[in-house]
Amino acid sequence: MKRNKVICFIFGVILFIFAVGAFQQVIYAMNVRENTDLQENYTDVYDFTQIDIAAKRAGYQGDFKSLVQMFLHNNDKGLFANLGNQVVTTIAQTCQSYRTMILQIVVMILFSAFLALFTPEINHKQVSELAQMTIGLSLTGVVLVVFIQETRQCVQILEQVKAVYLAVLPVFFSAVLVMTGEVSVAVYQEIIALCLQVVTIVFEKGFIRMNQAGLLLTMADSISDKPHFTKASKTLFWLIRYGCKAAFLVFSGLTGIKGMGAPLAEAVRKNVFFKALQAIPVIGDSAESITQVVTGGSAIARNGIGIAAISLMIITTVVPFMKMIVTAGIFRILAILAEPLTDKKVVNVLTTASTAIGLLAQIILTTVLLFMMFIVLICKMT
Amino acid sequence: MGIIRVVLLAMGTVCLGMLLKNTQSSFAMMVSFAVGILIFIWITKLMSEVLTQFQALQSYTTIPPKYIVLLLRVLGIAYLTQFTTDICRENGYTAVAGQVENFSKITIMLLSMPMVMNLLDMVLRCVS
Repeated sequence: MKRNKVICFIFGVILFIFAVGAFQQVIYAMNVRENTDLQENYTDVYDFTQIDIAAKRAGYQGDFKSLVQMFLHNNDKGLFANLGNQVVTTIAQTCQSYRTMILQIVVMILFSAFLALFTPEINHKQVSELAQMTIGLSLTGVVLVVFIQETRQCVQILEQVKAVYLAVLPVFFSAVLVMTGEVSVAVYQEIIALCLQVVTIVFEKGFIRMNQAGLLLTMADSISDKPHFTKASKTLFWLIRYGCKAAFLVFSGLTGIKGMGAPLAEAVRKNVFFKALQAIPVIGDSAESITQVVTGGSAIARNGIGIAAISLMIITTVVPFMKMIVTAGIFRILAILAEPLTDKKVVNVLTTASTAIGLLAQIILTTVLLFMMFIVLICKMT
Repeated sequence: MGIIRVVLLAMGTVCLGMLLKNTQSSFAMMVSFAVGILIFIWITKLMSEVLTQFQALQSYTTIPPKYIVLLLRVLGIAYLTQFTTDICRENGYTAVAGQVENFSKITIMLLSMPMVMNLLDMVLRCVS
């Protein structure tokens, strides 16, 4: 446990350094733009239609090009303030929408406490078990309805994020291509394709199903007299948690290792090419300044597109993500309230529901962070 | 207050029972039985008020009403059984008390069979 925290901390520091480096490059590229008098709308050459379509499906009504321009001209201050208001509104709306469910669960807890207190000693075990089975069945029904809704939402968000990312990649890589070369772009595309496969197969089809299985096993325990599946459900949740962390570490390592070599090799090749070009009379002197203009503009476009893509992913996922966190929090609070009043099985069901919904949120967070990490690392390494 | 009335009645019954035990033991048993029934009737009046409140709360829960009715019937059977077996044991009829207990357990099991069958149906539907 302590070792994992240390590893996560070290990784967080490395990612932070890369992110700072990437932003420094944005500032550098913007300075180059000011000094070399580039056209105002360097991003005009890119086609953002597919990104707009994907973003609209994900719930973002704005225009991707204006988002890029907003970041390039430092006009993004209002964007995240609005997001903060939306998050607060979402938390309030989620609590409001689950009011009925909270009331149902509280009444079940009270009913369970009443039956536990007022059952006479003679048939205490038999009546208690019958009552717990009835309450367990009803609670299972309520919790499963909410969990299935959240699972569908999680799958929908993953699909939307993938669609936005797949729409952004061609535009992003066309800007990266100018900065590096085909080999680097191919290397990055290979890693990203692998990551998308992992998200589709492992996260969507694997982890989400394992999450469902873990919850169902706990529900089965709630209606039997003794717990039989506790270790099995805990193991499934453990696998999901560590699978998410492992995916993050593996892909960051892979991008770092594979991505460092190719851009360097291509930079050396380009250097050799331009040195040869400079030797040619008449055009030799102009070659370097033209290259600076083009690469400076491409750096602006690449970083602008990258930051806008990251912001788009954050904007489209933060509200449903917060809703999931709030739902998990509501179940956790209900478990805390139920603990002194009712049987351990009811508390176990509520705690497991909270864990399962929290893991859905973790899967979304890991996916978005993976995609963000690729953009940041590519911006840094090229 | 109801509780003071019950306490005084119970204390009175115990004193009377102790006096009658040595001379007229059958009367002592009848006195304790009668007072037990009287207190049981007061309990049922109190419980009916509690149950009325629960019926009001029942609309907020997803437990089907037939299951709540079933649970309350089972609770009633448990109370009756407790009362009867206590009277029997007090008068030394342990075997009768045991048989009453067994009968109540089987009755409760029979009453809960529909719920178990519903659970089985649900599991089979999930599996298939």
